[in-house]
Amino acid sequence: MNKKKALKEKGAFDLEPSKYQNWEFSFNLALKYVKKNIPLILYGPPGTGKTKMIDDIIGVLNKENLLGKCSIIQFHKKFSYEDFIEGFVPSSGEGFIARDGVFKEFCKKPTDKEIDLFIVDEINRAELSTTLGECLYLFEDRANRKVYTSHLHEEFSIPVNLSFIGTMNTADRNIAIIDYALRRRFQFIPVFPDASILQIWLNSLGFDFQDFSIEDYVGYFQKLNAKIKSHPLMGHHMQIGHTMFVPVHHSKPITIDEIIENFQQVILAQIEAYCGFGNENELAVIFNPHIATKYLNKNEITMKDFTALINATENEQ
Amino acid sequence: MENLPWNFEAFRRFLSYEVMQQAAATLCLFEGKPIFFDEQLMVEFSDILDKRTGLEWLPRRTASEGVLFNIEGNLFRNKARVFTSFYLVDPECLKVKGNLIITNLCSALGFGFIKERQFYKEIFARYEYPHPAYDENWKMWNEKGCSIKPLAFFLKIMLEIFKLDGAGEVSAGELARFAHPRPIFTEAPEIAREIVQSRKRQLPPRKRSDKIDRKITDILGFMCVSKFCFYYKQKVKINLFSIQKEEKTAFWESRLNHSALDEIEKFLDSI
Repeated sequence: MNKKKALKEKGAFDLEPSKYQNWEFSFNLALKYVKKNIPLILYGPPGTGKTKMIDDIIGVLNKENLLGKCSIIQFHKKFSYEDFIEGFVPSSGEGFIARDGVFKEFCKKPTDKEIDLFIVDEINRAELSTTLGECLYLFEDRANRKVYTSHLHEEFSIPVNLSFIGTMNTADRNIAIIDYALRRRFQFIPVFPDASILQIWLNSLGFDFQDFSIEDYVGYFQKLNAKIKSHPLMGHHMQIGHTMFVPVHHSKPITIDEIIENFQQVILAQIEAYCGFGNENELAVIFNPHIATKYLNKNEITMKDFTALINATENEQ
Repeated sequence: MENLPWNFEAFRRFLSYEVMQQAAATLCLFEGKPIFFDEQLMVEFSDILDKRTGLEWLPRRTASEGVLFNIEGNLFRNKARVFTSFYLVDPECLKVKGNLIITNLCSALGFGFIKERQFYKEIFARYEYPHPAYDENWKMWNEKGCSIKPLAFFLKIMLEIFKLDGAGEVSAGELARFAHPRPIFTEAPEIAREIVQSRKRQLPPRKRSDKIDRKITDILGFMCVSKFCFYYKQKVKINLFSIQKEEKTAFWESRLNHSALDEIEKFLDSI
């Protein structure tokens, strides 16, 4: 895809990323909408803490005694209207029985608390318009709107106190597009990589080596994402999330081996997937030819290689 | 020896470690590619270089404004010697216009294996006449059968002046008058003595030569970029302050328990 085409395909939710590079800002905005029962979708590249944001929102609501019940599901390709609203399922005996989907079931028994929270992770992995069905109509003007469902002809409405959060990974372009009817019903809140979160997190863990500092490492994270943002094959929805820069299994303090293994297994692998497997030229541009060749030939990236990469990237404008 | 050419690139902005490191990184991306006869590759190289270094490598002259091309030609035509004079690119590949050949220094620098101080020491230790990047220089110095490392030579003179007067400063004019006619490294202490003594008396006027004085000024300029020296009033002074990267203090050296003077002496002895 060339640069011009990439710019033309800017989606309706392509907000100015620089305003939202702050995780805290997105969190406060999301919490505000949740408290007002406005349905929202947290969107952004993988590893930016969308799930953590939901956990923190639940934590705040519990602390303020606002939360009634809470349910989390994950959409996938086979998740259907029948799973979400209602449908017929095989009975244990013979034939089929009517069954409410998870969302209709949730909506049927609202609590008397201010917020009942329904969370859908990876919301764009299902065929959304089909799966959500009547909800497109019901999400607006909830106090007055009700419908009769298409399968069982039952009266269905969404309670006023229901708050809805979806999460969406925008790195996968195949599934990132959402139709405009749906777009209109939700608030889209970007959750993008945040260097300050990474800095705080790493400061709390520490490094057990001196080859480069935490500041150098966070600086590299920013420069790498800056390159990805301006790359014609990638763009800002394919940035590397700040959680991906912290090894999943790490010691305290973090060792250099853990950092390098994470770099090779997570970061390099992710960029390779974005650029196309085996695309040495693009990997050479993003990192350098030495790292690209070593990685693609399955040679170990050494501490010296990685330290040199961080050192070199510091000078890049 | 007075007629032997002294060559040094005047593009000071392009010679700092930060810029050269990224230039090397860009050169590494195009190693072995037919950059000299592939217009598209040359444009790509130029764009990446500008982006990575934050500098415009191909100057835009006013004569280029009305036409669809830059009258400076391509980047290599204009700035090739920045790469070859600093031993990043083999000058032969430029002459034959073959595939781009970079040096091991270029690879090491481009991939980040060489840090700032190490880079400048490397250039000081390597930069020598006869220089393969300059044809006339190479021919004339070889014919004369002599050689000099001008950066190390001037630094040695400044070090010797420091030992004599505790200040270690020198002007381009003094180097042009005393050092340029005698480019012999081992004579640096004697040259330093002459410079210090000359300051106590009136010297006959010397006609400033654009070729000599300007080149010496360019060399001193790079020595200041390297932080081995710094500008002080109308002269250049040897830098015995080690600047600590994070604190940016000049007193770091005393906390390191070694002196910058020792470091420079050891370095010059090793060349």
